[in-house]
Amino acid sequence: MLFPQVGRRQPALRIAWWLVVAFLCLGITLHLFPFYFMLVTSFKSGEEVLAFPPTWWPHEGTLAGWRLVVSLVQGSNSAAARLMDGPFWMFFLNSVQITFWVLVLGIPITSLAAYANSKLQRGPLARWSFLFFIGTLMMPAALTLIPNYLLTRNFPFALPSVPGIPGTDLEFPSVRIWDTHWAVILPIVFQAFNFLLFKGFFDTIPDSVIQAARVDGGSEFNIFRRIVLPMSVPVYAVAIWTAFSGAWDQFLWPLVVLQSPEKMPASVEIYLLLQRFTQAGATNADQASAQAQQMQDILSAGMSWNGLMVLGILQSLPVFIAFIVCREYLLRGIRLRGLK
Amino acid sequence: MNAITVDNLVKEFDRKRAVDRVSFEIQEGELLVLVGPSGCGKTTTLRLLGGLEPVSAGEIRFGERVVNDIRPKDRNVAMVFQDYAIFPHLTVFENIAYGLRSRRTPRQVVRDRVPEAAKTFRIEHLLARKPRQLSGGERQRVALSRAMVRDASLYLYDEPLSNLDAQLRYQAREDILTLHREKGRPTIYVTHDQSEAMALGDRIAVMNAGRIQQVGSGADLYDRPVNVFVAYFIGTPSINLFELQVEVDGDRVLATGSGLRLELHPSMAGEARRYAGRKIKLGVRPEHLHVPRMAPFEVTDDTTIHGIVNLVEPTSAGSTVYLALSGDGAGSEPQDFVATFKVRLPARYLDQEIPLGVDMSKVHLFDAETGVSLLHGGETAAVPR
Amino acid sequence: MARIEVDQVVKRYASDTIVDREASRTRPALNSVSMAVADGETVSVVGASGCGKSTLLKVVAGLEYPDAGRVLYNGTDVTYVRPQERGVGMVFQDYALYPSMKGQGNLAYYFQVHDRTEEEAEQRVRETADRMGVGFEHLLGRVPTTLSGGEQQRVAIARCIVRDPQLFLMDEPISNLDAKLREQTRIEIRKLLRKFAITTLYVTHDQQEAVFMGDRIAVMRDGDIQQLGSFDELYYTPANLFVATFIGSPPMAVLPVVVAGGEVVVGDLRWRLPDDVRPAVPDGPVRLGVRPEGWIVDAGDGAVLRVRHRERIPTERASFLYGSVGGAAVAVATAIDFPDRSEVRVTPEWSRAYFFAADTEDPIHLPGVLELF
Repeated sequence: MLFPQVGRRQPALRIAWWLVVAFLCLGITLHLFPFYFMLVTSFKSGEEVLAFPPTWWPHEGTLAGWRLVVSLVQGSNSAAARLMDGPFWMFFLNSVQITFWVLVLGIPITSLAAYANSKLQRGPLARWSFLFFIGTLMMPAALTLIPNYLLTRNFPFALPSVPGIPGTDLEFPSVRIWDTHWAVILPIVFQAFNFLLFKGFFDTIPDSVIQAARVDGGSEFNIFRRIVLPMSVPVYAVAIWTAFSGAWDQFLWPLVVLQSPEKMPASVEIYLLLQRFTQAGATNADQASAQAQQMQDILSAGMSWNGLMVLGILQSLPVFIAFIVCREYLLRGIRLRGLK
Repeated sequence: MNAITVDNLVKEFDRKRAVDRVSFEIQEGELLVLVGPSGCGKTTTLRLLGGLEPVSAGEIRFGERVVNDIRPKDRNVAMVFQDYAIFPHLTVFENIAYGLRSRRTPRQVVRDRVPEAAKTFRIEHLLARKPRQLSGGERQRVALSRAMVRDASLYLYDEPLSNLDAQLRYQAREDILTLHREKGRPTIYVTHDQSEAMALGDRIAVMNAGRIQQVGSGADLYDRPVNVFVAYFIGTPSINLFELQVEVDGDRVLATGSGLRLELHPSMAGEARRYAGRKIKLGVRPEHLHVPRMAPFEVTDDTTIHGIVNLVEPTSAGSTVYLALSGDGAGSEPQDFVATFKVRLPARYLDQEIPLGVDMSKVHLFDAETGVSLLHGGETAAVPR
Repeated sequence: MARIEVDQVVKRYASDTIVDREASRTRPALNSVSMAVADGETVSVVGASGCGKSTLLKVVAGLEYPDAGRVLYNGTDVTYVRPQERGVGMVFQDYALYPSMKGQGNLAYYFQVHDRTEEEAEQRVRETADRMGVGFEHLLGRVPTTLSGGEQQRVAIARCIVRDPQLFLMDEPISNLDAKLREQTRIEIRKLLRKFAITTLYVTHDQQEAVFMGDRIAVMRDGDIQQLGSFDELYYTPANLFVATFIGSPPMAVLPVVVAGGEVVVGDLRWRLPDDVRPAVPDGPVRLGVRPEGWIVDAGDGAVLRVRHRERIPTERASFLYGSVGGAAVAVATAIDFPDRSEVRVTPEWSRAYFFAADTEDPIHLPGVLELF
């Protein structure tokens, strides 16, 4: 409630009110502009995309980019498709798979941890474990890149090589999850931000409700499932959505830890495509001429930034859909907590 | 001239009327208590006066000035909230000084007046503390000091005592009266507790269902309630209400039903005669039920009711006895009623039937349908419960 | 039903704040508390906030484990038995209904988690609804958020009764209700307790409520039980000054006085003690306690009471004068039609006066239970 409810008809307040509205509109516009530009560019022709100054809307709209992407998705044998390491749907499925496991493992683990911290732990133990988890939020992702990378090589050892069991020739058992989807999934199964979100909500549930259930004879898990869970649906919606968009848009980590081209998620593949498209370097004359020919083919097929924009739209579509599907709960949950 | 005038005030939330055509005036230096059950609209009325909610219809005037559309900060009111609404991050001094500072009071004045206000409520030694280091009673006195330090044209209290332990309330009540007398400005005090209202107010307004039911002194409300609601709401334990049929027998007027047969006092017989053959509600205050031997009047069969003792509560002055009517008891659950005695009722009377004499000159009569008092209802457009 | 014993229970809370240097220095919430509750008896536990009364309740329920001492139900040590297995019913201040379930579901939850059949649950719920009296049936089909405070509390009580608890524990069950509703509800609860004769611990901060609800009353302060007894015992023979001032409203006035040669000296005033009291009070400084109704107004040798403020309470047919005598706050009960005066003279009625040691707050001489007949 930014403004007092009484006295809105006074001129000073009325001006202030419209100023606030103006700022809000500006903010919304700035926020939406990249999306608008992405959408518009996807309908531009190859030359217009590169035109300077950029045009605000397609002068001669073309569906070339979209048509090309359809062929990419189907995995046809066009020149552009050859720049990719497989049909686009394969990468899309990779993303789906990774995100699925992140949600299925991550949400229960995070929420149960937060519940335990909020309602079951007491005293110093509770506050230190809370600080510990929150501490991981303060750690920049780049800092954990190397240790995490080492972990994926010899899980669960964050060492360049597996230590031997003392007194024997054997090594400790370890798993090499590097270059598998698990290497992408496991590090983000516990989401500190969602932990904070859940903990904040669980703290608002009166202890007496849980104590009443305890006196009634419910087991701890039953209390969580029957009493706490139904109350927390909006918070779960928010947590699922942030986990979803986080996992879906992951970029740097999969790029580091995945090697095989067919395992890449869509977000990384789009970037790789972009990279190949813009920096197709050549080391000798044959290659150069072959690549020049290839680029010519691609351009003639209409592939340019417009196609990449279409892929970008495809990539962000699921996040949009997820938002629309559970927007009712999301809004309630965001109102509940005040997101980010 | 009235200091504060409230004229046909209406507040609607989603087309539900929380405050329904409320009107009253307050003189300079007067304290008005608004009392009613929770959800009766008393707090909303207070918030409307403070400018925290916009008015749906009607007028609020401070003197001659209509303040409906004046912002709270420009109305110059001081308000004490139920949860004290103390700023947790500021020291006691800064809490008290906040109202002055936000009005650009010179520093020197702030430095002088804050300790002075704190001294009135015995918290001058706590000025450097943070609120979390204070007890409930101390926090409350910070809230009072915050009101004290200002020169507001209206002081509003929203159930300021309800979060205090019982023993602290007496002192806090005196503190509030001190503040009121010192400032001599109009004050409105909201509470749900009628005994608190009785203890504080020169004038008490009883509210129910968004409307003011009756305004008057504590004695007015207790002895001359205009309707069933006021009669029931004022007084602990509550008045006993019996729904009875009026029968006229020569020059005697009787009220019968539920196994009761009571002769109405001659002073009320005239009013009741009009209800011959119809239902009325007979209200008897617990203190007007007497052990026959000790009654201050002659108890006859026509002024006696019989009850079975369910519970006896010891009080410092005697005892409060909870009984159930032992009438015909045909089918339905017997009606409960309460009597207060100046003596301790021995425990051996538990579950026994005892006769009690009714002081018929002190009973109240109400229309069974509208709830309006036959004796004091007058032309008041009273609302049934 | 059960007989409850609490045996020298100590409970100390770990501080919940992130940084708290004083954590180790705070006193325990329960400081070696012992009490016994007979089968079917209701004991009220009363005290100011933070005195440990809720902690005591939680220890008895098993929601907190004590650091030392034992809790016994019917002579069996249950100190470390989980609350799930104790068979207690608990009613909370905020009702603690399960917000996602209707009234019916709230009552039936116990049977679901104990793997009873649905028919049994339904039958028990129906029986309880009958016993709860008129109008309870329609509360079962509604979600807690749509119920008023009083209705929620009725559901909460029914949720306990539905499973025949050994022991009923109530934590300020009616303090969230408004005054009038509180009055009705407490009568209702008291009647239910009498009807079912369930052993009950009733926690409240309101001494009047404690007196009403309890067969006996335990007065607590700073983690200790100061006195456990009937209202008359607490009122006429308080164990110390704290209990004396805690019970009764308006509270008892406490004057610091000096006794010399059978006379009470307050400032420049001297009161001669009557013969039956004099031997009991030694010379020296003592504290004199006088309840509002224990003053004689306008007697010849009275102390001057400047009336600061006066409350006329028509509902009690009394008016109270507030002022001070010898620096101590004094309340005096007078008749309702007592005229407005700025000064009155008041003398203690010695047969109703209390004497306490000046330093230890222990009683020296008490009036004892008044003989009315």
